Order: sequence, then structure tokens, then C-alpha cells
Amino acid sequence: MIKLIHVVNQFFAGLGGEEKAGLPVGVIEGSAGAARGLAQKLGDEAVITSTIYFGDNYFHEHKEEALKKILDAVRAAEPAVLIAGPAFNSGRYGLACVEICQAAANALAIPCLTAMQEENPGVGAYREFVNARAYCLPTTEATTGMNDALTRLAHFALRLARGEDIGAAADEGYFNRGIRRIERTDRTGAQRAVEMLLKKINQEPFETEIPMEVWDDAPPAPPLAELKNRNLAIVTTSGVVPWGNPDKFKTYRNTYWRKYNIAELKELESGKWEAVHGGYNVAYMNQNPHYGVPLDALRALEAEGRIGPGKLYPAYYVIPGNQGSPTVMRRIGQEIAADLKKDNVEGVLFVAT
Amino acid sequence: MKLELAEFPVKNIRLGHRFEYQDEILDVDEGALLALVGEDPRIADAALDVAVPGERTRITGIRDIVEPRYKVSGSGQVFPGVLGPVENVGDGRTHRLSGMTVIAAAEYEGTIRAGTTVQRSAILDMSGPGAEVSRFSTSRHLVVSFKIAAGLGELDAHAAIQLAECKVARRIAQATAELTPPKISAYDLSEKNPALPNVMLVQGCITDPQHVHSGVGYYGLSLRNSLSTFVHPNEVFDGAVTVDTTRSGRGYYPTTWDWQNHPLILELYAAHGKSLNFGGVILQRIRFETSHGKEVGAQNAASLARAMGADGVLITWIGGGNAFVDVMFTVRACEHNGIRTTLVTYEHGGREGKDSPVLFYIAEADAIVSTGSLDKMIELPAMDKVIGPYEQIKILPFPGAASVAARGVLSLESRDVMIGGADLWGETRFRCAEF
Repeated sequence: MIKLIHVVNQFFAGLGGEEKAGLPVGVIEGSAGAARGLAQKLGDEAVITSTIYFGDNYFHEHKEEALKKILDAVRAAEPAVLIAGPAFNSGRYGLACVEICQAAANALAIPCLTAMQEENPGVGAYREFVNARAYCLPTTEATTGMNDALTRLAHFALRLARGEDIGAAADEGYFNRGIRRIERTDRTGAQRAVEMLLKKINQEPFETEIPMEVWDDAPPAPPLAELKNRNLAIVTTSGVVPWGNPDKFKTYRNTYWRKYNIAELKELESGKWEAVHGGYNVAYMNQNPHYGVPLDALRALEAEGRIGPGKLYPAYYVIPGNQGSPTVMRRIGQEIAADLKKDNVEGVLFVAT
Repeated sequence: MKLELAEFPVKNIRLGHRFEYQDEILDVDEGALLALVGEDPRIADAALDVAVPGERTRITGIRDIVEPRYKVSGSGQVFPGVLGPVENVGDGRTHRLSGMTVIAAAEYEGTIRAGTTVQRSAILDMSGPGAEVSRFSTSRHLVVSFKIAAGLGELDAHAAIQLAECKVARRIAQATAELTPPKISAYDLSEKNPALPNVMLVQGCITDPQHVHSGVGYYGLSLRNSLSTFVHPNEVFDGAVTVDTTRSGRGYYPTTWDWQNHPLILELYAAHGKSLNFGGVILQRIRFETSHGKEVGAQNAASLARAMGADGVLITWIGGGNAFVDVMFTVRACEHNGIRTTLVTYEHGGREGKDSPVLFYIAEADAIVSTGSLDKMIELPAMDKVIGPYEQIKILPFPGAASVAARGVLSLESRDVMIGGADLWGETRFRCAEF
């Protein structure tokens, strides 16, 4: 027999409405309130071993504590799947369901399932979490759709419990989480391409297979009025590293950065440095690594007094930037910026290739 | 210009002492082929092998794959400018051996340590999870393995590999020269139906002008600072567009076979006269070094498409990284010129598919076909047999990378080590969907 846990708010546990929204987390043996309806839909294959409830306000006002108590109760019950909701259009409830799914999926590595209306703010949180173990099904706005929602929750929960493969969001009817996986379709890419183009030319509806993303803008910091008394550093995505590639950078899609000491150097000598990068012809860089790390020019500026003595950071920062994954590169940018900040660097010469 | 492609299916390849095609069995004269390859002093230790789908075989050192073809009528000969004089091709009749390929598997270390010019070679599994991914695992292969003479630079090495594979491919297809083909497909664009929209293919090609070979050969000449150029698709079928064989051994670059069997060209031909008029191919250089260059390259491709009366274009590309900016600019330039676009591309998305699928976005790219992701891990089991020059292989070509036993279990973090590991132009049914 498959064991399931159902998590609901105080209202759906049958304990009261808004006046009971401050109720702390509690556990009821077996199914209670709305969970009874879910239990009926599960048939003989699965049982709801306990119903966990929480007051809507209590959850959001004591989130850490509430999540801990819920996780403890779930851990003790060892369910195959956690079901939370359905939350319909209730924002507080929907957000709580999604956060509980997120926490349980991560802490206990079990599949978690919830359901709510598409406009519920919980759906936005669910999409931000991008959790491969958490699923959210759509419901109606009002609880009139309860029977249908419980039927679909029960069906989906049983499939998760059996370990069945769950297909793409559009085919399976859950809200997509923005996780892109390879699947096999019934037609080749070339066939789909010609069909899509003809629909577009003929002004018929079509659906793109890669939706556009909107990226954050990073507003540049204001320019430095003068350089002389500023702490400066070199950051480069050119992939120039000591000859022999001691940190084993790949030529593309790297996931870490390094800094290499240049404190005692006047220049980068050809043959002692090399570019590890798959995105450009590195022959010229290997002949003259200053294209990536212009130490010669900066030392000349020091000699002229335009950069103050000791103001050039003693190491340069590097990652081969080729085909960098946007989320990885964002993290790397943040890590390098934090490291620069820690050492009070005020200006950076950023050398791209 | 009308080209008849006469298809001779091959279900078995036998190494022996004569060239003959009969009952879908191809006999090849091993000694004669080895002598043909050995004419080139740049090549040593040549050997032939046959790889069969379903076998526990791994092929190493793959530089390129070619479909055997031989022209029996019409001007020129297959692979013009590579094998013979620069003569216009694309009409008459060309024989092709289908269901089989010639694989050039060469040992070559190269003189360049990293960067876009570094030599690459790929592997192919004939069974198991690697075979499920690659479009090449279902064909039989005549594998020509050899060593490139020591000290040879990249361009000479490429020329030697390409000459060897093309000579072998043409020679074995020649076995059908006097035979009546079981099946003929005719390719002709001269008739257009004015009621149908005109559609072209814009084929973006990453070409690096500073490299010894830019990556795309046109009648054997490496395309460098070219602006967009019109190519009749029949010329492509006859091998007028080729690759840099020292760099095509990776899953997201096309092989010569992919050009000869370009799936978007074939699909547009299939729709020609039925739902659209196919207007031909625009070869576009992409990966200009500057934003200005990218804008001009994009505008130039759109201008050519407009001048040729295109109502819509399929846009696809070869390459990675910032070349995709050129591709997206081309989408925008076409749309701004009133030409509707659909883009066909592989995607990234990271190991778990949570990262951005592509590296650059513009609002006009509202119709994209996904051909799958390059970033998915794949575990390859050990194989019983290794064909090709390498017993030890480097999974990634960075300086200092460790080599591993080619025969053993391989854990690949991206699919580009396998030839055919990524679908470039919509040949297969793979795509990425949102989960």
C-alpha cells in the first residue's frame, strides 16, 4: 500500500475559517476535512496516513518553525508523495503549499504535488523554485472545482508514487517549471520547421519551441573621476592562464574562476602563459598574452604615475568565457565582484575576447 | 538546373578484391582503395574496416563522414574543387549509395593547443545509448583509418583527410556507374506556383577568416570574408559545400554527409510546388568580430533574400557562442524586411535544463524549432571492439586533458564528443520541451 501525506490549511482541515488562521502546525491521523475527499479518489492502491494542517497566518508569520514542524511530521510518516492543497485562488494558502513542496522535495527527496489557480501567487513562486521534484496542477478559481481537482491530484499522485515517467508540462497538464529536457516527437525538426514557417506566413497560430527570455540589465557603475589613487584590478574572460593550464580549465562552459599572481611581474612573457579558450584563434594570444592581460600597458601607466604605486591588484582574475552558461556566469561575476569588494578594489579593467 | 539523385541502397559491405554492387551488397577492392589512399605521401598506415549497426563497436578518431556519390551525367564531378576542377555541378544524374557512409578516422595531434582552430576528433558507438543519440549509428560504415604524417600543419592535414575520404567515396559509388538505379528522385526548382509563398534557407556558417581553413568550403575554397552568397541546393547535393576535416569531429558541427543530405533543403524540396516555392539557399558568413560586422552580415543576408523575392526563410546555423548573435540579428533583419522567419537551432540549458536554452535573445525570434540540447550528460558503456586510430582518447581537447581507454566506459558531460551527438538542422525527431 502506497503511503501519502496530505497538507492543508486550517480551513480545509475543517478546523475553522479566518478566525482560526493563527493555528499552529498540527497532525491528524488518517484523512480529515478535504483530505477525506482525496482519500476516496485514491481507491485501494494508496492511503493517506496523516493530514498535516497549519493556520494560514501562522505559516507566514512563523515560516521557519512551521516548515520545520511540517518536515518533521512528513519525515516520520515516510510517505511516497506529499500532496498540498488544492489552494484555488487563495494567495496565502497557495504560497504556503508551494513552499512546503519546495522544502519537502529538497529535504526529503520525495515528489511533492500541489494544485491552484494559475493567477495564484504560489504559481509564480513555484516557477521561480524550478524544482524537478515539485509539480503544480491548475485548478478553477473557486472551490466549485474541488471534485475535479481532487480527482486529478489523486491520479497524478499515484503516478508519482509508482515512479512513472512524467512527460512535458503541455502534455501532462501541470504548470511548466522552465525545466527543458530532451524528448522525441513524432516529426523531424525539419518537418516542424517548414510547418511552423508556413503557419507564420499564412498568419495562422503557431507555437515556438523555445520561448524568449528577458534578461536582467546590469547598470554600469559610475566612472571613476581619476585613477591615480584608486585600487584597480584586471578581470578577463580571455582564458589566459599559466602555461600548462594548472587548474584544468576547459575550453568552454567553465564553472569556476581563478586568480593568478602578477605582483612581481613587469610583463607576461610569451611561452609562460597560454590561452585556454575554444572561441577564438589563440595563436596570437599565446604569442602575446597582453592582449588578454595588458600588464605591460598598466605597468607603463604606473611608471608615468597615472596609476598609483601598489594600486594595481597583485593578481588578475580569469575564466575562459566561451559558451558560458548564463546562470553560471552570473554566479561567477558575483563571486569575483565580492572578492574584489573584500579587497577594496574600486575599478576593474575588464578584458573580453 | 535539374538533378536526378539515383539511390542504390547498401545493406552489406564486403572487403575483397573487386568493386561491385549487386543485390544491395557492395563489394570493395580493399587493395585498390588502400593504394588510392596511399598515393598521398601525407598519409601512412591506412586500413579499412566495416562497422555495422547493433554491433558493440566504437569508432575513434572520426574527422568526417561522407556519403559515396558519383556523377554519371551533367557537368563536373562530385566534390568539385576538391577532387577535380572547379566546374559547376548540380544538374544531370548523380548516383548515391544510401544506408552507408565513408568515415575518415585519422590520427593527428595538430600544432595548435586550444582555440577554435584546435583539431578535434569524435567517436561513434554502433549500439547502446550513444547509438540512440547519433543519426549515424543506423548506417553501415566503411571506415578508412590512417595516420597523418608527423609535423604536418592543420591545413595540410585537412587537405589529406578530405582528399582521401572523397576519393574513396567517389570510387566505391563508381561501382554503380553502369547500373540501372532502383530509385530516382528529381530535384528541380525551375517551376514556381505564383499562388504559393516563396521560401529560402538562410544557412549561417561560422567562418573564421583568420584561420587556415575557415570551416566552410565552397567548391573547395574556404569561405572567408564573404558576404552572403546564393547556392543552388543541387550544388550542395553534389558536394560543392564541404567542411574543415580537422575541426568537424565534434557533435555540433556538420560533416560532409550532413551537407549532402541537408535535412532542411530536403524538406523544402519536399514541400516545393505543394505548399511553397523553394527559392534556394543563402550561405551566410556569421561570427563577425564586431557588432557592426554582425549587423552588416545580417542585413546583407536579408537584402539578398528580399531581392530574391522570399516571403519567408528558414534560418539555421553552424557554430556556437557569439556566432548566435549574428543569427539572431539575421532573424531581426529579415523580419524588419517583411520576411517571415523560423529559426532552427540546438540549445544548451545546462545539465538539468534549468539554464537559458540559448545565449542571446531578440523579440522578433518568435518562431524557433528546437533540435535538442547539447548539455545533457551521457554514459557510454564499454564496447567489445574499437575501430579507428586511437586506443586512448581525450574526451575534451584542452591542454593537459587526461586521455582514457577508448574501449571502456565513458562519461560525457556534453554530447559533442560523439559524431551526430547534436542535431543541427532538424534531421531527427529530438527536441527540448518544458517540464
